[in-house]
Amino acid sequence: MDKKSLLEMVSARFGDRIECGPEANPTPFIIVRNPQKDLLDIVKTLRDDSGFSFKYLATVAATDHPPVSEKKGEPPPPGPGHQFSTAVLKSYEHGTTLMVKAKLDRNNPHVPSLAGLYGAAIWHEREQYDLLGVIYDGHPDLRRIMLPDDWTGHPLRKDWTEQDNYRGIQTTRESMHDIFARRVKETEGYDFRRGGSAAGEETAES
Amino acid sequence: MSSLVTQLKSDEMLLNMGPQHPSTHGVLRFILKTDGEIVTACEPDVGFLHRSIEKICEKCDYPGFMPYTDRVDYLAAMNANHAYALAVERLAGIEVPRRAQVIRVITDELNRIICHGAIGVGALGMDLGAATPFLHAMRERETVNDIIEELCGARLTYNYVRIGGVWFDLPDGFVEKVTAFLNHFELAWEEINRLLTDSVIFRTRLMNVGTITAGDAVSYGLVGPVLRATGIKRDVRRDQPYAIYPELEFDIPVGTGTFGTLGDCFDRHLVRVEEVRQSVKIVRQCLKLLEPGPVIAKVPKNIKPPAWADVYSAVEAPRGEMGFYLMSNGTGKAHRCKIRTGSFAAMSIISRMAPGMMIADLVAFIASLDVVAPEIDR
Amino acid sequence: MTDTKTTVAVPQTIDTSYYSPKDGGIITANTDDFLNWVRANSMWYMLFGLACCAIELMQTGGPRADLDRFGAVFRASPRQSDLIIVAGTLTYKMASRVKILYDQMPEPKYVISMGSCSNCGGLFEQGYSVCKGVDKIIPVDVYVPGCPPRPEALTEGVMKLQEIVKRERFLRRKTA
Repeated sequence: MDKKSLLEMVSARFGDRIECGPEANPTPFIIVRNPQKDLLDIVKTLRDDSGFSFKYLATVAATDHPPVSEKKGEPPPPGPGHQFSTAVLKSYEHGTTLMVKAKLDRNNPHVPSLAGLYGAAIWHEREQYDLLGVIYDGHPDLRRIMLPDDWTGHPLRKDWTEQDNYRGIQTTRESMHDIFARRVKETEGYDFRRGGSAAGEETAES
Repeated sequence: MSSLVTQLKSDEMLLNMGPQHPSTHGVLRFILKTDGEIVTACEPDVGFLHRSIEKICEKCDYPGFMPYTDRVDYLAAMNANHAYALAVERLAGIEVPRRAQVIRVITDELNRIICHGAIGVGALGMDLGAATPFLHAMRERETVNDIIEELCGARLTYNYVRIGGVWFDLPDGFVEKVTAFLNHFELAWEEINRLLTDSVIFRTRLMNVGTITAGDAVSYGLVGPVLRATGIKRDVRRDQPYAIYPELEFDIPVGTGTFGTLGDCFDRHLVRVEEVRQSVKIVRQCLKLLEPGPVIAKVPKNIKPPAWADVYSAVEAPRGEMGFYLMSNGTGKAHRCKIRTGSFAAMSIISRMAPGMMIADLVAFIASLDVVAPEIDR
Repeated sequence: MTDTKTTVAVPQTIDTSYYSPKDGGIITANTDDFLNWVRANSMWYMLFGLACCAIELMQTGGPRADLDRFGAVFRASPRQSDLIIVAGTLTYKMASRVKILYDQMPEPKYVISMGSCSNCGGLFEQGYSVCKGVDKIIPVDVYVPGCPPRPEALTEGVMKLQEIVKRERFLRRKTA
């Protein structure tokens, strides 16, 4: 089944409830217009209908689109000020891949969880919550997975800034230039040929 | 007596396994609740090797991200390179020359051989207490390392596949060396197998342990040998083919349940053993398909895919489907990169499977899933 | 050993000139030299593979590089180890564990930092969750560069550490 016929089939099935992505996109996608109401129903149909049989959830990937000023000549980003939660569904029977996107408010990103339909969603959604802060309603166990519990913020958000230190460990390292300058200063007066300082003392070793 | 043992409950114990534990295949941590020797609950705690690879992808340009893909799965870096290159090529619409595709398949399969051979099978034996097959497999691994080192200069993190092809053409005498290795390896593999698979102790440790049903496997998105061991014939190489795989003849081994139940640890082991044989077959075919030609397409230095296009593309890595979700934003850098790996899915099923197992069986179960820490954490 | 100002002369080699199998194999040595000789040739390292370097660490212990030649064998417990080879990327989540494991090792203890990641963050210096060098957590004796270092490089690192061990003084202390 090629991309075009898949998109036609999906749009014929769901009609107004979804918006189909452009055909030129390398992987076909659909955007669910009202994810709170329709997402679970649509994904369940895609999974159970033998015409689609998307039995397999490959991944859940959220993307972050902060509000930006539009530049001339460039295509505008999809939904500035929003986040997308993309579920990648695969069907091995038909050899097809379909991405189901849900558009979320960036300040209050809530979306129904797919954990009831796919066991794989439990960990994938936890990861997206951890890294991007998307809140999956109805998720059985929504907490951080990759980062420590006392971490602040969601690092894959575009406006996340790195903290200065984590539990007292400095998060930056001095540059090579600084290290070199410090070493030069430390070894001032050291005679490398004699293996000792210029004053004639023996080298100290611990 | 036996009914008394099962009825009696002892105090529940909270046991911490890892993150630094020799049999956890990297830095993984399991929080176990046990009743005597029987696990009642197991919660995997991952993220000890979370290296923010996905964020780094947003900071460097498309060709510049290639070295990081090596580190996603350091045991099968060629496959990870291939997966990323394929995703960018599909995103930007780049055609790959045929010779490059053949070379990619050869290196992929060589990588699969040493990955399954040394770690998938060898480390499984070592976790169960058989160190000899592991050392035998490591010896074979060194030979492949030498061959690949001649090809690209690195032993582990190859960085050999490029967007639009591969880095260098094959060195002189490559075909002869690979053929010599395969001739030697086929015999050595059977020897390792005799040592390991035919051992009664090894079989008894794995049979009927950690049986994953087909329904669970599909729901949890398991891929690769773990999925195929449950009897489901799914392989990205066959179902959504890439490179020159459609032209090649190879079987997809599935679990049969001849020993023990279908989908147990021993089935997973047998599937890996058979996959290595199939990989040898594929490499032999590919060596005959090598024809002179360019190894890399003409690719602009600054790759700029169309704005706001996104792609999900996958290859069959040794641990199953490895996929890259990439979203471009019209510049030379990706907007978002999400890496989907087999080990991540395999880890998520442990908390479901573990209750009821003995602690020693849990070690065997984790080893038979063949997880790699950076693939889980990235 | 703790007094850094102590002046140390070039260590005398252990005198084996008296050795002959006939009279029972006697050698003479300074107690310090003898102890160091013994210690340097039985560096038991802890299994502490974090990432990619762990594979090269395995290969180093494997048949070809064979680190056992230098008396270095792996131990699974920090209580039995003299040496910790930090092989791989250290994240903030793992950092406290490294400290715990290092504290559990008995004195005298040594640290080899293997690979760019544990030296300084390496490739992942841009990452938000990666500790920029294990020397921010525990003191390091030998840095082995490479990403990942070859088994030969790690063997060299262990030999450098043996040199350090052989120069140490416990019983005899010279005042400056």
